[in-house]
Amino acid sequence: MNITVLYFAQLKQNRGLAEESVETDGGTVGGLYQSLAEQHSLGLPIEQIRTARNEVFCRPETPLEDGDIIAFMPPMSGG
Amino acid sequence: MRFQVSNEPVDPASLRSGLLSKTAGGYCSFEGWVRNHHLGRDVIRLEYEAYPSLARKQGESVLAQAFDQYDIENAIAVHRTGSLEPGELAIWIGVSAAHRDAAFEACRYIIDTIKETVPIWKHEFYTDGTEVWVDPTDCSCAHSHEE
Repeated sequence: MNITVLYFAQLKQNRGLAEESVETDGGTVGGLYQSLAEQHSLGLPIEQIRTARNEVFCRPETPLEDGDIIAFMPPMSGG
Repeated sequence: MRFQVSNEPVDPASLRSGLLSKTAGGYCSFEGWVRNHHLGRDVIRLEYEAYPSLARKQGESVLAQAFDQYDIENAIAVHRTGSLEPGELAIWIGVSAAHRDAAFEACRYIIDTIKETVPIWKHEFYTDGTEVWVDPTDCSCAHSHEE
C-alpha cells in the first residue's frame, strides 16, 4: 500500500524533507514511524511524538490503510 | 472560524472590536509576544511552523471545549506563523462573557491548551548564529522548572 508521510519541525529537519511517499505492507502508524526513524535517524522516540491519520490525531496502534496521509509531529511548542 | 492561523501580522484592535457586545459584562485577552531571550541566550528572531489544516481543526476544538466548560459569550484566537522578531505578537486570544470570572478562566484555559495541543512549532534563532527547535518536554528547557 502507498502512504503519504508528513514531517514537521525537528522531524522535518532531521529527515531533510517535509513529505514523502512510502510503500509498505501494512502495519500500524507507530510501526511505520519506527521503521522510518531507524532508516533516517529521525531522532525522537515514538513515545515523544504525536501522530495523525488523515488530519485527525491518532494513536500509534492505529492500522494503516492504502492512501493514508500520516503526520509525524514533535511535541507542540506554539504560543 | 473562531481560530485562525495567520502568516500576516495580527491587529488586536480589530479582533477586539469583533467581540464587543452589550450583553457581555467583561472581556479578557491574552497576547503572547516574542521574547528576545530564552534560557539565557539572545534570540534574534523565531519562526513558527504549523500543520495548518490540523492546527485549525484542533484550535477550533480547543475553543469549543472552552464554550462547553465556561459560561462565556464569545472567544476567538489567532496564532501567527512565519518569521517573527522580538516584540511581535505571536498569539492573540480574546474572550467575552457576562461575568469576569468565566472570561479570565476561559482565556487561561485556551492559551494553555493551545500551547499543549495545537500543532504549531517554534524555531528559535540566536544572535550567535545557532538555532533550536523548542521542545517544552525537554528537561533541559527551563519552562518546566520556572513555576
